[in-house]
Amino acid sequence: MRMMATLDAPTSGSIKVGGLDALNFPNDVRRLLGWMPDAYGTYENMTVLEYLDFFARAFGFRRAERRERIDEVMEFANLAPICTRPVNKLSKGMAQRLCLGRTLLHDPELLILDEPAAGLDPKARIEFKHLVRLLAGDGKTLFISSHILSELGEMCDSLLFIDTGRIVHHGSAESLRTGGGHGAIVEVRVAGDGGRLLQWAALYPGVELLEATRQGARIRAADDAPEALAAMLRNMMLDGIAVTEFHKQERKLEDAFVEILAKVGGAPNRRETP
Amino acid sequence: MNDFADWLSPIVVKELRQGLRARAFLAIFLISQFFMIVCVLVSLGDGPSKEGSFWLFWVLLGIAVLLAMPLRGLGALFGEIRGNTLELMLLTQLSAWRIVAGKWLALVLQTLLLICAVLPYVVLRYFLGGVSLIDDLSVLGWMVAGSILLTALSVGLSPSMQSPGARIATGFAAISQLWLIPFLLEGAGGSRPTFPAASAWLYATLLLGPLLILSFLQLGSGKIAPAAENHDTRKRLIAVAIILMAGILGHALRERGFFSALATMAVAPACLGALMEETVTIPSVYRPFVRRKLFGKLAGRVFYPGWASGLWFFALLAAVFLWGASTDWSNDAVHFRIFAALEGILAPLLLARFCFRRAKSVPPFYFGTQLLLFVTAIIFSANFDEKLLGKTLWIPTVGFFVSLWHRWGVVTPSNISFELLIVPALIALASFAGLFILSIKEWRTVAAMERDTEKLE
Repeated sequence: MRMMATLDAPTSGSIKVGGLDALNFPNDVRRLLGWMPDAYGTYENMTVLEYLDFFARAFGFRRAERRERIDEVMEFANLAPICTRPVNKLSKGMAQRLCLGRTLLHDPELLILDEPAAGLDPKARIEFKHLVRLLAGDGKTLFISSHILSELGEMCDSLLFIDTGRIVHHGSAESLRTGGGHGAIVEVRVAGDGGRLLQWAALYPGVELLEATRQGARIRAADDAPEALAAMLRNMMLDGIAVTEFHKQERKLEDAFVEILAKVGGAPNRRETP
Repeated sequence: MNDFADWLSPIVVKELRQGLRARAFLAIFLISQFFMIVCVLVSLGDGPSKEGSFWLFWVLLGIAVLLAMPLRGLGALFGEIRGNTLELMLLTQLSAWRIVAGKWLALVLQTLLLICAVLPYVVLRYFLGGVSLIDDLSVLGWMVAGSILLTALSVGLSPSMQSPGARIATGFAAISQLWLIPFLLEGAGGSRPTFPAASAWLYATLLLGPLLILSFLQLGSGKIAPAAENHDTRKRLIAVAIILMAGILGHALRERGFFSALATMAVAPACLGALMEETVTIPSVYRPFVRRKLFGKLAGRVFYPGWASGLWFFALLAAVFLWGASTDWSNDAVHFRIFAALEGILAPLLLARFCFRRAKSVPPFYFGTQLLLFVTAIIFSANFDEKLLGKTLWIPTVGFFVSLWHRWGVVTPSNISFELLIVPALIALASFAGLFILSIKEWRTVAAMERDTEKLE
């Protein structure tokens, strides 16, 4: 990310942002991008408004235009109520909103957000996700790095997993959730004896018993097409199993990541970048 | 948000907003005001107390203006680095240079504010009698000039204040520069130590001072700049300007020793830095040179970032110093000193570059080698014996120390023998040749970068 932001030089390879080489045209690339680092630095003796004013001046905005840009980002990130507060006395959520506001001052095409939701309380996370969706709706490209995969799934169209410098997966969150050709995992609950369900699962073709639960079982259906799942449920009931719940489980992104790493021989618990 | 004009640098606006509210500034301001009142009250009396108040006034003002305010500069960039705020600034339209210059200017403006607040006391003292207003104002002017220069130095050094080790090394490097003052005071042409005339100080402040400020600030901006910004070339250009200006002033004012000492101290960081830099493999850095075709590439042999060109830059400056000394060829002591200094710089560099070829960063090994040789040299040169000297002179830096002891009158060799001149000169030349051979690989990289840049154009 630092290399993308033109702050570090790559030891090999090249980086292009908006068609421009980050190494050869650093100033042009900087105009295109806004960077929100994970460690947000604060200043002493400075209010939120002064903070934004400084960066607006630093981005080259003058007079009325500067005031206008500041007002726009304050409205977008809901900073107006805290504009007179000292920046080093803000809560994590407020600070993240301020940091996002600063990143948006020069209206960049690409936003690089490093761990934007780390340390935020649930309310602040929801607010932040909302802002991210608004920006994506405005046509901005957002590049987010995070360890919290479930949140990435909600915010991102495309996920990129990197393990020790190698891209191990690149695709949509939906394709990872639906299992990518691994069939469907179905949780079934029954009334009364669950033993019959286990026997049924052992005999029914295309079904694999994953685990027995207290009132049923988790099974994997080889065919995850809705018609195939409907036929399976119909057969289950025709065979006399008293089904009370039939629920297709979506695969968690964390599970998908661990599976991908196991496939490529890497260790889990690494940094992943969508 | 209209408290500061638009034409002011954003960094100056930010620093003034923060700085004027900072506890450090308020403390300095209030304490100095308190003591100024005390001084004026004391000077109302007669006799020794009035005389005492005179000294107290200037000492206290000196502490505030020449010590406390410049010291604030040490935290200027270090604070931004520690607070993870510097990179956010670098991604705006602010260059590293504008950030450093803005920090310095904001501190200078705060010092001027402090001075303005003190001016009424200066005038009051005049009306109370016993002081000359012109003298007081001229002392105040010198103080401001000194403070401006010291603030530039502290801001320039502030990015190097990140670890205790770095602080000690920077402090040591700064103090070691002071050795050059008596060593070079008699300079290239003189034969005895002289104290420069007041006019020399005035011209040095007015004409060399701005260049020194640029050089100090460039030191800081080079440290914080992103890899794609080239600050090494600027450092070298400023060093050349300092040498030229010092040469002209030294010749015109007949104070060659004084200006040589000043120039040496001012260009030493740029020279050593040029020898330590690693070759840059970013084509855009070479663009300004390659655009100017053959002339640009020729200038690049001396001004490209990286130690390969740094070696030739160093040779160029050494040649200028030798040329300056050549006007008085009869003074062997001066030549001995120059050769000894060249030997002391180049030979350890060759050792470090050759023995630690694979090291990512050469400076720690270079200064380590220097330290080792310094200790050896002190042991040998302190027990000065002309017979022993002949046998130990090949050790780099022995000659430097002998010349130092000689200059200070600790030892007095009967005369500067041929051996005393030729051995350091030969070792310096051999070291340069060795370094040139090692730099051939770097030049190949530079040639590849030039080709890549030409493709980009």
